[in-house]
Amino acid sequence: MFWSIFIDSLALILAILAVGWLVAYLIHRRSQ
Amino acid sequence: MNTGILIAVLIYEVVIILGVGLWLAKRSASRPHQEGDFALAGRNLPMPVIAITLALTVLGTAHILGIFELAWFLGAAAVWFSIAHVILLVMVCLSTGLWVRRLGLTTVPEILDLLYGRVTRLIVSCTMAGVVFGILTIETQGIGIIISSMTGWSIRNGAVVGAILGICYVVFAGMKEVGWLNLVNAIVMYLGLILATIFLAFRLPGGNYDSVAEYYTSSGNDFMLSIYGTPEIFFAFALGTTIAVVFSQGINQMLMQPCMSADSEKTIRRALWIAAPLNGMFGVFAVVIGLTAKTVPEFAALGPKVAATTMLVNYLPPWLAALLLASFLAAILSTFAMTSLAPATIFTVDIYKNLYRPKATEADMARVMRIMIIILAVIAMTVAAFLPPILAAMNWLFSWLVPVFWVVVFGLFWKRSSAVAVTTLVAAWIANSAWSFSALPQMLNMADVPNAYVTLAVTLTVGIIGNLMASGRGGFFKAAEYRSRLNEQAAATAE
Repeated sequence: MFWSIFIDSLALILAILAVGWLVAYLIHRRSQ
Repeated sequence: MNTGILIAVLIYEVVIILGVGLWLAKRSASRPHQEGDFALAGRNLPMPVIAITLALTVLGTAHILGIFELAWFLGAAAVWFSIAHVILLVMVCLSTGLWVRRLGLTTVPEILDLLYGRVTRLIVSCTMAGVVFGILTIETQGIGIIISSMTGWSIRNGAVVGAILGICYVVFAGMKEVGWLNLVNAIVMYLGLILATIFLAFRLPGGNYDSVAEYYTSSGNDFMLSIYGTPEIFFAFALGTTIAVVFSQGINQMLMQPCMSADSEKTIRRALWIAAPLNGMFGVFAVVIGLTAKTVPEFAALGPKVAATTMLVNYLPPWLAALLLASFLAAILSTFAMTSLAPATIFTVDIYKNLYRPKATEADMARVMRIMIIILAVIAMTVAAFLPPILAAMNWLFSWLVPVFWVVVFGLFWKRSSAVAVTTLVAAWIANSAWSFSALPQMLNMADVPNAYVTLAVTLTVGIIGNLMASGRGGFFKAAEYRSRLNEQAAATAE
């Protein structure tokens, strides 16, 4: 139980960080 | 009453508060005071302190005790309160925190003054101070729960003792003390939490969490073990809490203050990589502990508010129980500190100095802030006595700030029209009041729709239509005023 919740949450967090960085990068490129 | 643990916890708090606090007070007494010293720690906090402060400022009662309480009803999906904060931290570190820092101001209401003028600033100040004060009452309830778990006292009596500790914690040295102490607390709390999850497993049949999983699957409640829950839980809680958290805390004093204290924008961006996982993964441990407490009859009998903490006091070795509860209490105290410091700052800067004594010195303002912190803590103790459900209360408080976020975004990037800003704010707040206090949700057959959806929908509708129709100056970041501000700041730094 612990590991399934741990892995699902970690995967979700990393996905959110990746999407956040991508969006910030694209906006930064567009404003250049 | 678990006297040994209680004494150990109090010694930890007193050594940190008195020991570190006095040491910091002695150090800063030998330097001349600068403008903003008390509230903003001189704008030079380094990256690890910013990261831990960002992660821990929003890691109070809601993350710990709120998730323990909500896991009782929603299971693993309660982790979405933490996930919502990950999304929030991404937004703060990559956008709102940086924008606010570029403006070089002290409080969020000052940003509104810059964009829209005094009226907007004042009405938002009052609402923000009210919301943060509401969070303070939840933190006070949280302190009461921790003390109750150790002593067997009522949560209410625990809250009185805890609020006194909280006042001591913040009054000694303001922001700088909170910054450095958060670093120490974060390390202790995280290590304690990981150890607690390991030791707790050893106390369960089979030495692991299989029996807990079995409890839920055998009673037909598999959804309790998935972080995505059921579609209803995902819509009403997971997405609902994400909207509430991201669009209220994204522009909230409590998170803006560490960003304003950072030594550079790069520091804030880098801090994200520590702050986001730290804050997010905390929820995993909290949810596992909360799910476990419900499966043990002797703790389940105590109800969702104290089951998990009482289980930790009884099942963990005393040294670990003391360490864990002491560090929880310190984390809650740090949020208590920020939530008493933030409205006190808003009152001191926006009302006392701005409206009443424009020539107030730094020492005058520090004195007024200390008095306000004490007054707020005393009122918070009284309100905490009503014991509202923690995460439901937080999401309701957050829904009031959703329009503030969007009004700032429109003003920075699109158009500055005070009429549209005030109309958007008032429309959203009227809608929120109607949704909270009338039979409107039931009449529309939408009783399960969280308040944050309603305030977001009204804000975007009124804000977008209003800005399309109205005339106003362009967004601030595109304006000549902004460029000349940047030049002034660069010149001031060069001097």
